[in-house]
This record gives sequence, C-alpha cells and structure tokens, in this order.
Amino acid sequence: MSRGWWRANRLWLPLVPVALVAMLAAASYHVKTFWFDDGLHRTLVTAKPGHVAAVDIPYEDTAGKTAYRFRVRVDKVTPTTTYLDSLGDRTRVQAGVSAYRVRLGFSADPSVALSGCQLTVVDAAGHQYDVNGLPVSQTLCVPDGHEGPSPALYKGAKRGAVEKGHQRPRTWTTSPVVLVPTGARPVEVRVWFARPDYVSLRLPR
Amino acid sequence: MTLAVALIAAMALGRAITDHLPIGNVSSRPFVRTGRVDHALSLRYADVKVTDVRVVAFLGTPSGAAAPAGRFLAVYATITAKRQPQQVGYVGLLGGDGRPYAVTSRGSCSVPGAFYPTGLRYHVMYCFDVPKRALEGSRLELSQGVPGQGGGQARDDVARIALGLSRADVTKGWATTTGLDGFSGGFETADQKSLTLTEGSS
Repeated sequence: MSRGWWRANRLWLPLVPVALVAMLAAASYHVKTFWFDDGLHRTLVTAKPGHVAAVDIPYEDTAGKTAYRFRVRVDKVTPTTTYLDSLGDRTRVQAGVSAYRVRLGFSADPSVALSGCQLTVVDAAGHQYDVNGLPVSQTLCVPDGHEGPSPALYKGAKRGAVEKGHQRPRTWTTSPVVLVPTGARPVEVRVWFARPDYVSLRLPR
Repeated sequence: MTLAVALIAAMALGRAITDHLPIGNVSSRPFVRTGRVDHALSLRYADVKVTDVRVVAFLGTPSGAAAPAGRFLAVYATITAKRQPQQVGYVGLLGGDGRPYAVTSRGSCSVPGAFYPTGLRYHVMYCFDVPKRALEGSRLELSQGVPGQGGGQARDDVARIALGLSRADVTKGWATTTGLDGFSGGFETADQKSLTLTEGSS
C-alpha cells in the first residue's frame, strides 16, 4: 500500500488491535460457560497434607441463604484390593487397576446439610478420578444411614428435617474407594458441591 | 453521500450473508472422527474401540429372552476416558438405509448418559433393534453431547465407526436363531457365548 494510504488512515489503524481485543473479550463468555464452569477450576480452601480445612461455602436453597460449613481432613490413603460394585457386592480389583481407600475425617454441626457432597481424586499428571463416576455405591462425605439434613429443594420445604434416629453425629469418618490405572499416584483429594468450586486437600508426596 | 452509500451497502451485504449462507448449519456441524472395528479411535475426551459386532435373534435378560421387532445388533466396545470421568451423552446407529436408530431399552444393554472412569478400559455393549435394510454399511455414532440439544458440549468430537457388515454378514446374521446375554457394562469383557432358546423360555 502507498505511503498516502497509511497517512490517510493513521488515525484509525491504532484502533484495529483495540477492536480485536474487544471482539475477543466479547466472545470470552464461551470460556466461562464451556470450560471454567464445567470443571473444578476454583480452589476455595487448600489444606496441606495432614492439616484440617475449615470450609464455609455460602449458597442459597428454597428456604433462603445458608452455607456448607464443616471441617475436613484426609486421615490416610491406603491401597486396597477390593471395592464395592454398583450392586454392593465386594469385588476384587482387576488387572491394570489400582484401588485406594481414602479415609476422611469430618466434623460439622448436625443441622448443616452436606448430602450433596462429591469427591474427586487427582493424580500427579492432573487426571481426575471421581468416586461418584465409578460403578460403585459408596457414601462419600456423610455416614451411611446418618446423612443428616438435605437442602430445602422446593418452596415450603424445611431444611434440617431428619428422621428420628438418623441424625448425623458431630464428628465422623468416611472411607470411599477410588479406582485408578495402575501407576497413577493420588496427590490431592477435592471435596466439592458444585463446579467450579472445590476444597483442596493435599496428600503427602 | 459516499458515507450513506457505503453504510447501505454494508447493511445489504450483512443481510445477504445472514439470509443466504448456511451459518446455522456450519456452526453446529460436529467434528467427526471416523473409524472401523478393532481400531482404537482417539477422541478429545476418550479412546473408543469397537471390538465386535453380532446380529442376534434375542437377548437374554434375568427375566427371560427379549425378542426384537427385526434383529438385535449388538456392538461390543471399550471406552477409556482421558483426563476426567466422561459422560457419553449420545450413542446411536446410522443405518445403512440412512436412518438413525436409537439404543434399545430392552435386553439390559449399555445405555447413553453413563459416566466412564478415567484411564480405565470399560467394556460396554450397545444394542439396537433394526430392520434388515439398516444392517449393511451401518455405523455406530457416539459423542459426549446429544444432537439437537445444544447445551454443554453439543456433539463435540463425534466418533463414527463403520461396523463392517457386508451383505453376506447380514444374510447370515438375519438367519440366526441364537441370542446373547445382555451386558450393561463393566471392567471385565462381556460373556459373548451364543445362547439358544429352549422350551419354556419367554
């Protein structure tokens, strides 16, 4: 292009990169919707190996504002050779698969709803293994048969209503089993309720 | 005057583009990866391999034999999620007759919507109740999103695997009277032993 063209457009040309940036920013909501909100990408609390994470995640159910308020730590992660399958039958671990029992210690007020909790184990390569995504039926974060209250899910529902004899104790442990490919080494346990937020519990190296 | 003409021309061009170019079709067309039986297909989110294809006259279930309207096409495959547990939202058959066929709900076979574990080879068996004309040249389709539903990952990275059924295979399969046990999935391979109907089976 001639020197005259550059001179004639000298006022507009600097705006081209600005327009490009504005265009990319305008399209960036895709990154949030299809990537950030679709995975575990925001660490709320991190606990070093053996340390307790004090968790307070505010949320709103149909009864109003409340929070997932509890303390959790990883007691130990141990290899195991059996796990419960989807029918509740004890099954031996297959060739090429390693099973780890993750023992978690919890404490929370019995009135706090924790029944929607999920667990994800992360290996050194960043691969994620959901206990909930496996063909196994296990209690993840609350004691079996004593899950405690559920969030109020519909208008008029009462949060904290628990059948007599099924109240959750103030402290408890759970020991779900996660299956990973042989050779994968768990380095982190993530406790979460809704993506993208999670609590990070680091494991000893 | 020049500015007004340029403005009207730009608006006319924009209208022509939105009216006459297939913008909607282009933007929703999935990425398709094609494969064949016994060859692993690497998708962005999982490795998929069809290991065997069988045409059978019935499927064995705990409550008895399930009979098809046509024949059951059983597709054995393995799915290995790559970085995180993976939901496979859509599984279907593209018949050789050009029609899509949904996974049958009869026969205790694997179903779409299941989550598969990370890094572990998981065996599945997808079953379709199909007419004879659909078998030759049929292809298995599998993706994490569901066609037409948009949403999270609408049909991103679709596997389309040719099942390799020839006319001779179809003739032989259609004549069979044997069946297979239904298999909903697991870490172990399915029992692919042929079953025969005996008196009293239902």
